[in-house]
Amino acid sequence: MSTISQERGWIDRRIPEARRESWRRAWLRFMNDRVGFIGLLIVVVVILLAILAPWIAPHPEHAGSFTDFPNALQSPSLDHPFGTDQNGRDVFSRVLFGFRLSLMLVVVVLGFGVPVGITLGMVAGYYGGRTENVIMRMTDTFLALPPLVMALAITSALEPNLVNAMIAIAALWWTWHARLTQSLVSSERNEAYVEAAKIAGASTPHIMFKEILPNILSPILVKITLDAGFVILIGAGLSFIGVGAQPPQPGLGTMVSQGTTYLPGSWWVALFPGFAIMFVVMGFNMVGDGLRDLFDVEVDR
Amino acid sequence: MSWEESVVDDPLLTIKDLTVDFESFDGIHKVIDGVSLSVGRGEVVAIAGETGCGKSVTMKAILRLLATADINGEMIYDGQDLQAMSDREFSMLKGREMSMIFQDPMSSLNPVFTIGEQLTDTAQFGGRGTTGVLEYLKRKYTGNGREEARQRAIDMLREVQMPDPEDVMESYPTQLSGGMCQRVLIAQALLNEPTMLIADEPGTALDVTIHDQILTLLKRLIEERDLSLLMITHNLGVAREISDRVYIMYGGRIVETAPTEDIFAEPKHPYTQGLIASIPRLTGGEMAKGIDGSVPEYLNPPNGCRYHPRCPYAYERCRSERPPMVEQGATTAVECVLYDQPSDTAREIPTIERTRQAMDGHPEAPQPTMESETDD
Amino acid sequence: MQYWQYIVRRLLGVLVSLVGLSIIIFAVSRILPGNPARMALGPLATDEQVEAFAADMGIDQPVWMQYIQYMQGLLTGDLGMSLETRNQVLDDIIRHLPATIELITVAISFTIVLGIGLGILAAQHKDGHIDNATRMLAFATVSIPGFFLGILFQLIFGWFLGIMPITGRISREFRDEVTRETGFMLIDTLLSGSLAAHFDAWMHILLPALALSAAGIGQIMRITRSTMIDVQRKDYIEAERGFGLPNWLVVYKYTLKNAFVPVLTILGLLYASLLGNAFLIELVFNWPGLAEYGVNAVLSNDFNAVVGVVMTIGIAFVTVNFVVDLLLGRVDPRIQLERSGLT
Repeated sequence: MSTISQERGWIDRRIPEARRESWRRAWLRFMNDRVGFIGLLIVVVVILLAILAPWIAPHPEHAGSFTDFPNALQSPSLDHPFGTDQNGRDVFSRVLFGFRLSLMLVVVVLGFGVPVGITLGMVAGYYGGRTENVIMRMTDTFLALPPLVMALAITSALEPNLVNAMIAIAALWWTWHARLTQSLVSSERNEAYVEAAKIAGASTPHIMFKEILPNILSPILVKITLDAGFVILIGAGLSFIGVGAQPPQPGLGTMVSQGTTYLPGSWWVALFPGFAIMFVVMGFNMVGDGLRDLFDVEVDR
Repeated sequence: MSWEESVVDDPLLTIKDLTVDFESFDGIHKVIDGVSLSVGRGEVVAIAGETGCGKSVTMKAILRLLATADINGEMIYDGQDLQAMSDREFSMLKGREMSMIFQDPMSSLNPVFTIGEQLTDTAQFGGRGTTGVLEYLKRKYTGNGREEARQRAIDMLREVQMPDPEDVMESYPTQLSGGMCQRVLIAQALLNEPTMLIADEPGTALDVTIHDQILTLLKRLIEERDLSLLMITHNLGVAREISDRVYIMYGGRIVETAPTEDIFAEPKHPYTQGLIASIPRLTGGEMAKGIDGSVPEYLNPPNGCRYHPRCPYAYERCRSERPPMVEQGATTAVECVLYDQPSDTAREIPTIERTRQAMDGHPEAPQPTMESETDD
Repeated sequence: MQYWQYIVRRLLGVLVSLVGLSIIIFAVSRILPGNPARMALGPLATDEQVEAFAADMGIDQPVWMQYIQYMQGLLTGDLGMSLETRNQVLDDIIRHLPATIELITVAISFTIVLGIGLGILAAQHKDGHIDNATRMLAFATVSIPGFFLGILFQLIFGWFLGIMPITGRISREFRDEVTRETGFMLIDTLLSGSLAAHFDAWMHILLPALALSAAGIGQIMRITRSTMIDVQRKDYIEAERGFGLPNWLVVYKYTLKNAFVPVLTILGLLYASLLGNAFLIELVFNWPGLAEYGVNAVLSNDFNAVVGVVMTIGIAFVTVNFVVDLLLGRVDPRIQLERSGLT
């Protein structure tokens, strides 16, 4: 009696349409979710500001070691919407260039960390056994050190500057993606479609990246979005301590750190860059949250 | 007396014109569309139908387990209007008057508590939804009745033929087999001596021999305790084995009801006939064919009779109007227009042989006399 | 499987982690380009002085010898001498550690209490105003840099309202009253018998602890909410409701314990970012803890001290996660099976 429903034919007819339909719906649903939409708006605005900074910043020359002491520490005005800092530089222009540095950090760190992490996690999860044990043991050990502390140690061992900070964070970031990918793959490797691909004689790289990867992409995507915010926070933290972007580079954390000297009187020097960090990180987090709801996946930061 | 007033003299539970709608992104899904049924005292009633025909939703609607649905209709239990009850009053009824056995035994026990903890709490607080926090702490930690409740739980485990009940009390659900979990759930349902049981395909998730044992156990317990049982199943064999009366459900509607013996001897609705015809038979050596097509979707259900796109006897009238429930004696009724026509225009009355021919694609089999509607 | 077997297996895992940790940290400390002895002594030192110093530090040996010496040191608690303070690094760490432990303990308590509390509240009022408000709060706390939140607190409560102290662990007037016994100011002030001093210590720790815990509160809140909602949809919760158990019992006993599993897991991981953020918060609030010592060590290239601090933090993280694993094994028996298979 339970053999009544026969769905053959139904499936073949609908798959391509269904896929297109589900993407269209996903997009609609995402745009319906206010949080995800606002987040996307923020991220797009920040990216545009960062790319166009040299052309739209009111005082692009203030991004570097410019000085104009007569105009130092001016409170916000029409000419300087975020005021000026101790060297008389326009804080607003510097914030725009700060976005540039932050996003550059994200691109470098994730551009290196994500592919490496996914590959290692994929190998560990797919082969299992001893390979998995060795790789995951290594990963766990790296995870035992807070990224900020580890980056601090590495940066100090090299020389404190922005490039080394990027290298340090990138050298750690793969661990998170290795962990995530491994856990996703190990629950996926016994699925029927993987078996089917094996029987059909597909090569291992094909199975890993053409069969399995598309199926675990949504949690990874969510993770990458949330990561972007996290990387910016860590970069800002390193700059704040003084081992990231070096003055006169307009690192957002550096600007907050230098601005604290002029608190509470000239509050704008520290506060605007601080809120700028919060703004961009919040944008990424909101997109991540929207995506998480959309894909209905649980990912830790 | 109309069939839906009460097909039994002394109903314990009566449902009348129950509708359940779910609202989603796409619109309103009319999942239950006017279901009426009744269960007499000490009677065993089965609701049978394909997966997805609305059986579980009906049960959950009765038990108030559907938080987001729009539920309408009349539900009377032992003279009390269930819809009018407050959540508090209802939680006093649940567990003590009406109890339930859930579909999947493995997932229906809380994985992070021992069986003992869950059973003892049920024994002490099940059907006592108004118990406060202080009362709970008092009873749990001062041993006020705790030991007695625990003992009751052990006795009940023994009654459901659980081996080593003391050990089981200390175990976590993951340490037990599916059959054992099912026994625990039955024990849990019976702990507070309910009058009525509602069971959602008990044992279906288990393998066949265990399933059989569970049914035998259930049958024995019902007889011993004189329980009323409303049982949901997709398996007509189970309904035949255990029930006094059967409701056949399709697409959120009751399409036929009759005493169990009658329904197997003389199924009337083409859907019922299809179901029975597709029971595999040991003789004949051929696999039974299923009914073509699948259960309707609820967002845009077929007009008229919801079964007409799959029915070999369907004609124009089936497509345009919902068929009336036609009484066939005191306890039998069928929702099909073929039984509701003036004798001069009489169309063929479906029989199970003809239905089987239709399913096998026999040349002389009845053909739908209209353009078959695509159901997508 | 027995619980003690699970504990033993986890302990073995901890040992492997610690060895791995020591290797990573050793590797990092030796990728230092240039001559650490020269760096420590400054450009004015003569070559002979530098060589003598290097021999003294053992950094003229081959790498594997250095690792063995370093491991010997670790096992005997000898982390070498700080190039900056000229003290034994271990002594320095022991002196700075209590302030950090105190700060983190208070912060993690805030995280647990506020995070779980607000999470349950949000789950109970799903899609209501409270839920939306906590969601926004979670976004804000997770997105704001901890050090910046600390600065905002200082501005608002210190400078603007003038009701809270903004730096240090205790006010000057109590400094002589309180003798250092345990190093934990909240305990030492109690031991000194001065309630005023104890209260003062609380006032000092409140802002940094809150700034430190903010991100965690947001995360724990969200994860508590989503798992509570998830668990409430499970068959067994439906069944428990079906048996007519009181609603609060179903929510606070049967649902909450299930929801603890992911919350505890996250809490263990959160500990790492908490330790990291403590570095920044201690700087902002001038909190004389391990992080402050570590940052100074980093900025002055004091690599023995850096190694010591990083190792301490690694050990702390591994230990905390070991404890979390034990708790998880207690809460959810399934985890004992799962995790012992993996490691």
